[in-house]
Amino acid sequence: MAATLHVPDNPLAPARADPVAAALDELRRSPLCAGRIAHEAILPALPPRIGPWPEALHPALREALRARGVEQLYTHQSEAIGAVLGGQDVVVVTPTASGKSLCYTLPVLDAWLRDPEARSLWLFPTKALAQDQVASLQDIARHLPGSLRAATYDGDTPPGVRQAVRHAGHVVVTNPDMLHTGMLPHHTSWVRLFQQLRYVVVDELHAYRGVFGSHLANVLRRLLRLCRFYGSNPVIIACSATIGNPAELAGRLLERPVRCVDDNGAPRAERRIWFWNPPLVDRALGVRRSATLEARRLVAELVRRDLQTIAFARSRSSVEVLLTYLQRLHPSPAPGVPGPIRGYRSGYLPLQRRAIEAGLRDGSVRGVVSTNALELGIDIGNLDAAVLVGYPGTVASTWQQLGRAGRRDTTSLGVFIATDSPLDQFLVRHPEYLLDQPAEHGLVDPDNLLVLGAHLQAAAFELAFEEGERFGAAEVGGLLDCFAEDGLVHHSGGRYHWSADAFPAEAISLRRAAATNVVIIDTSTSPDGPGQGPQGAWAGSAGGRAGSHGRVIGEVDQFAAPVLVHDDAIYIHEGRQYHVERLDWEEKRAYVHPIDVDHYTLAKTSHSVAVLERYAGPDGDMCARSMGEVRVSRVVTMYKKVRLLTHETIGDGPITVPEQDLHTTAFWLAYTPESVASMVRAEVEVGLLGMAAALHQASCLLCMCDPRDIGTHAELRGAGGPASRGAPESPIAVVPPREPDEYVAGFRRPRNAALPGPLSGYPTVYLYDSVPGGVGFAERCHERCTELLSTAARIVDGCECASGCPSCTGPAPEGVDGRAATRMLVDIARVSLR
Amino acid sequence: MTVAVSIDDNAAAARLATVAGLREKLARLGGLGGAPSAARAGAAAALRAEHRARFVAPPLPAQPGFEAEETPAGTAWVRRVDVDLGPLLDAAGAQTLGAAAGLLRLVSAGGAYGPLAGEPVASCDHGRVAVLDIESLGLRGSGVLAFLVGIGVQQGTTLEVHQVLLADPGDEAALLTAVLDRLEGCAALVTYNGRSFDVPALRARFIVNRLGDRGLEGRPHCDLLGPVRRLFRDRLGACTLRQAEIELLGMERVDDVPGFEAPGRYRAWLRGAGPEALAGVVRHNELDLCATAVLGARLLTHVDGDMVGPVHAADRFRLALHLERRGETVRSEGLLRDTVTAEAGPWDRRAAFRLAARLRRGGGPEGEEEALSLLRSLWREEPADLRGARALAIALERARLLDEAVAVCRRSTRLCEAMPAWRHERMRGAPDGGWPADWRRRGERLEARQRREAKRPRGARVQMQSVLLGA
Repeated sequence: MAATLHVPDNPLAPARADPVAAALDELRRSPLCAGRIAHEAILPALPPRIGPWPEALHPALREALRARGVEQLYTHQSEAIGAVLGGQDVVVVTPTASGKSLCYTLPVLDAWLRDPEARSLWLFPTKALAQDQVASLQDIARHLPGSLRAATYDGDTPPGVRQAVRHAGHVVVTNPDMLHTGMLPHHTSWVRLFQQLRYVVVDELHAYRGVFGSHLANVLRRLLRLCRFYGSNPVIIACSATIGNPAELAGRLLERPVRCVDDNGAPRAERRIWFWNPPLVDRALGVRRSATLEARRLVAELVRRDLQTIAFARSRSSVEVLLTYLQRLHPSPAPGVPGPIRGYRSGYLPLQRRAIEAGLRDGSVRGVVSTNALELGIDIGNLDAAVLVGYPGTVASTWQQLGRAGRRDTTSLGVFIATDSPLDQFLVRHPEYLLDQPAEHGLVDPDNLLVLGAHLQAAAFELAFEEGERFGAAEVGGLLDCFAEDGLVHHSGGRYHWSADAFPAEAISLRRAAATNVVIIDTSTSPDGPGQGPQGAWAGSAGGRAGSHGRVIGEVDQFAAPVLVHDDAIYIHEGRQYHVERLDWEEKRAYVHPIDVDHYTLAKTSHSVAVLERYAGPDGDMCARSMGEVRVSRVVTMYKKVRLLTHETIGDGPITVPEQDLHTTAFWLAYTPESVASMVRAEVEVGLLGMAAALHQASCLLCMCDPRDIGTHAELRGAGGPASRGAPESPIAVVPPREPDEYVAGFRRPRNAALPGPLSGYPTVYLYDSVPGGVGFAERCHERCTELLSTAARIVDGCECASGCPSCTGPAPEGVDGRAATRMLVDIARVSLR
Repeated sequence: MTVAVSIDDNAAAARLATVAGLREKLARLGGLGGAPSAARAGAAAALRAEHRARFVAPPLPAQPGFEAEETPAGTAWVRRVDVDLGPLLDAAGAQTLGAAAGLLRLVSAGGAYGPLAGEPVASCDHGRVAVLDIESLGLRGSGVLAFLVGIGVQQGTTLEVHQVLLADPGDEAALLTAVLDRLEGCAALVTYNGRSFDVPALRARFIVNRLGDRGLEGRPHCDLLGPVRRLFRDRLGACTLRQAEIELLGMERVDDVPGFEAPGRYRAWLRGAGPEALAGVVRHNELDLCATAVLGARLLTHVDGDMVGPVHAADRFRLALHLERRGETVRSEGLLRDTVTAEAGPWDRRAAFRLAARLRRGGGPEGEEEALSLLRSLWREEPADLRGARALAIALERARLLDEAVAVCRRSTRLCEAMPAWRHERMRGAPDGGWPADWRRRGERLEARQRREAKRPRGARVQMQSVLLGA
C-alpha cells in the first residue's frame, strides 16, 4: 500500500540534487550507449492533486490514516471512495504505486466499523499478492478500535485455520482458483460470508484477459448467483493498471454498469524512457546484436553505478541465461552467500521468492532478472531502473514493467531493448506507438461455449437452476437440456437438479497453465545442495523415482514442459544448469542432474491446421477470406544446442512427446492458383510466410492483444480453399465426447480417425486464437480485414532491409525477394477483398 | 405418481434442435470436463432416443414398501419397518442398545470428537437415540443430493427404521421436512463417519432448501468412527464400518450392494430402471443403520462393562488411553499393567512407557522407583530405542544417579553414531538438530554435573538425594 502521502513543503520548489539523474546523464554520454538509443522520452514530474475527504467515511479511519502519516487523499482515491460509499460499482484505473488499494481498503474498513458482522471478499490473481495485502490491511486496522479478522484463504491455509476463516473472517482474501474450487462449491460452509457480503474486491483486473478472464467472469456469475440466494448484494470494487478499455472489460467481467475512475492524482518524479536498438550485425539479413547480450552490458553497468535495477526477460529460459551472465560479472562475495543479482520467475519455490522480494525492499538485492512474474503488484518497493529485454507483448505490460522503476523523489529510468523480432523493430522505429497509443483492450468472452458450459455445471451443482433462469447474461436453457439428456442434471418440477456424482468444479482449470504441472527432480544426491526439501504438494515425499533421493527443484506447466524439459535439454534454474535425463510424460516428472556446459537448448515446434467448419465466407474472388472453426495440431519436433555468448548452433536432436490439439476459431485467406500464377513456387512459399509474419504483427496491433494470444500458420496446400464451400466431410463431427483432456485445457490427444488429407489445396494463411474455442480475435480480424491488410502493407513497406528480414517478413532464401513476394500477395488480397 | 410435462410440439422440436446443435459444437471443441464417460454416454444415448419423440419428462418412479406422506413442503416417500436387533446384540456380546448418555460420553471425553462441549451429558440420559445414515450422489460439496435418508430410533432391543426416499429431486424440501419430523424429540444422533459426511451433507441441503439448519446444528451427536479408531485401530486398519462389523460384531453381510454403486443405481431408477435397481440400496441403508446401532452397544460394553472376548493386548492398551483421557486413572493403570504383563509387542513396551510416565508424575517415591526399574528393563531389552533411552537418562538424572545416566548417554551416543543417518532421522520423536547432537549435548552436560557433584562432600549428596526422593 504505497499510498502514504507526505504533503511536500512546497511542491513547486526545484528538486534537490538528484544523484540518479546525474548518473544517468553520465551514462548517456558514455560509449556504452553510443548509437544505441534510438529515442529518449522524458516524462515530466507530476505534482500531487488532492481530493476532498469523503465525509461519509467513519471518523476513526481518518485518525488511523493520520497515525500512519496520511493526511489527505488523492483525487482518484477520493472520487472512488465517494462512489463506492454511494453504492456504485467502481473500477479504478491508475498506474502502479498510485495508492489504488486505499480505494477499497477504506470502504471495507468503514463497513466493518459500522457493522462488525459485515464481510468482504478480496480476489487477487496470485497467492503472493494476497498475502501482501493482508499484511498492509492489518497495518491500518492496528490503529482502529476492535480487532479485524482478515485472513488469506488459499491452498496454503492450514486446515485448522480454514474453519476459523469460514466462520469469523471479516475480510477473506483469496484467488479466483480457490473461490472456484474451494469456496463456491462448499457455499453452505460459508453462509455468514455470503449473507453479509458487502464488498467484492477484484484487484489487478487487467490480469483477467483472454481465457482466464472468461473463466473469472463465470466464477463471478456463480458468486453473485449465490449472493442473491443468500440475500446479499455486494458492491464490486475493481482496480486495474492502465488498459485501453477498463470500463468495458469491467462491464464484461462483472456484467453490470461500472463507474470508471481514472483521474490519477498521485505525484511522480521525472522518468526517462530509452528506446534501445542494438547495432546491426548483418545489414542484408537485418540481424542485430542479441538483446540479451546488450542487456548484460547495460544492467551490469547500472548495477555498477549503484542503481537498483530490474530486468524483465521474455521467457523463463532467457531469465536464466541473462542471470548467468550477470552473476559472472557481479559474483557473490563468498560461496554459499547469494550474490547481489538474483533471478525471479515461476518455478522458484515460495520461500526463495519471499527472500528475493525482501532483499529488493531492503536494498540488499541490487539487481533482479525476472519474467513477468514480478509485473503484478507484489511489493518489492520502487527501483531506480527497469530494463525490458524485448517487448513484453502488450502496451499494458510494458507500462507495468517500466512502472517498477519510479521513486517519489528521484529520477528513474526505463529502457526498452528491442530484439530483432518484427514487432520490436516496428516499435523501436515508431516509439509513438508505445508512448501515445492507448494500452490494449482486454478481450474476454464469458460465453465461450467450453468455459460457459463447464461453469454452468459447477453452478448447477451449487444450486438447482430454475427453468428460464439466466446465468449472468447468458441464456442457458439449451445447455441445461443438453446436460439433462446426458444425465448430469435431472429436470423435474421446473428445475434442473445436479444428479451426477462428479464434483464439476474440479474438472475446470481457470488458467491454461494451471493443469497438472511437470515436476522437476534433481536425481543427484549432492549433500551441499541448497537444501530445500520438497514443498507444497510434495511436502514430506522423497520425490524422485524408487531408489533415488531426488529433490524437487521446481516445476513447469505441461504446455511448456516439452519445450523446456524435453529429454536431453539443458534446463537452467537460478543460474544453474541441469541436464534433463528423461521426461516422463505419463508420470509428469522430469529427472535432471546438475551439469556445467557452455550451451543451452532451444526447442522447435511445428503446427498444422485443419478446417472443421466455416462460419463466414468465403468472400472474394482471387483471394477469399473466411472465418471458422479449426483444429491446430502442435508437435514439438526437435531442439537445437546453442553455445552461450556466441549464440551459434552446435548441434541438434529429436524430441518425442505426443502431439497436442487445439480447437479454436481462425481467420484465413486462401488464394486461387490462378491468382498466383505469375509467381514461382518459391516466391509463393516465401510470400505466404511473409504474409503470416506481417499479418500476425498487424493483428496484434488491431486486436490490442499479446502476440502469444494469436497464432499463425501458412500452408501452400491448405484445405480451406475458396472452392470447398462449407465444412469438409470429416468424421470429426460424429465422434462422441470423450474423457476430459489429458493435457492443457483444450489440448487433448489427437483422435485416431484419419482426416482426408488435402489432396488439392490452396495457398493459405491462417490467424487463430490460441485459446480453445477462441475469445474473439479471429472474428475481429475477419470484420476489419481491410484495415488489417493495410497495416500489413505498411509494415512490409516500412522496413529498411533489402529483401526481407526478421523485422518484417522474415528472412528469404538466396535469390528470392521476400518483401516483394509478400507485397504482391498483400496487394492481391487487398484488390479482391476491397 | 406419474406427472408428464408435455410441451407444444414445435417448441419441443426447436429445443431438440438447439440441444443437438450445442452437442455437436461441444463435441467438436473437445468436450466439457464434466462430460459423461463413454459408457454413460451410451446409456444416455439410448434414453435420448426414447424421449426424443416428445419432450416428455420420464414418469416418476415408484418403489414398493415406500408410502406417500404429506408434509407442508410436499409429498415424501417413507418406508417403515421394525428390526429386532436381539440376535445381533447377542452375537456382539452386548446386552442392550446404548443409552444416549453413555454414547455421548464415548465421544465427549477427547473434546476433539465431541460437539457438545459443556453440555450436561446426564440430561440426555432418558432421551431417545436416533441412528442416521444417508445415501447420496457424490461425496463432497454443497451440491451433494441425499436421495435416501435412513433414521433408526432405538427402542429396547428394537430398531424402528424410517427411510425417506427422494422420488423426485424437485421434492427435496418434503424429504427434509419428513426427516426433521423424525429427528424431533431425539436426544442424540448416532452415526458412523457422520461428523464429516452425513451431517454436513444434510445440513447443506437444509440450507439450500431454505430450511435453516435447526434440525442438526447443536444436536448432540455421537460419531462412532472416532471411538472405533481410538479403541481398535490396531485391529481394523482403515476402520470402515464393514471391517468393524466383521471384527467387532462377528457378522458378515450377505448379498449387500456396495455403497459406491448407490448413485448409479439411483440414477438408473430415476430413469425408469425399475424397483429392483433400488431395492439393494434400501436394504444396504437399513443394514448400515442396524450395524451402527449394534456397534454403539458393543463399544459401550467394551468401555463401561466387561470387555468382549477375545481381548488382545492392543485393545487393553487403547482402552487404557481412552480411560485416561476420561480421567478414570485407576482402571486405566490396571489395564496398562495387564498390557505390560501380556508381553505382546509392541503394545507392552508402549504401555510400560506410559505407565512409567504416569508413575513418575503422581506415584510418589515408590512410583518413582517402579518407573525407574520399568525404564531400565525397557532399555536393556532394546538399547537402540533412542526415545526410551532418553526417558531413562532423564529419569536417572532426576534421581541423581549420574554415573548410570552417563553410561546410558555414552552407549546411546555410540549406538546412534553407528546407525545409518536415515534410521534415526526417521525415528519418531527425534529432537530438533537430530539425535547424535542431542546425545552429545546431554552427555557433556551430565559429565560436567558429575564433576561438580564429585567436588561436594559426600554427606551433602546423600542428603540432597533423600530430600529429592521426599524421604
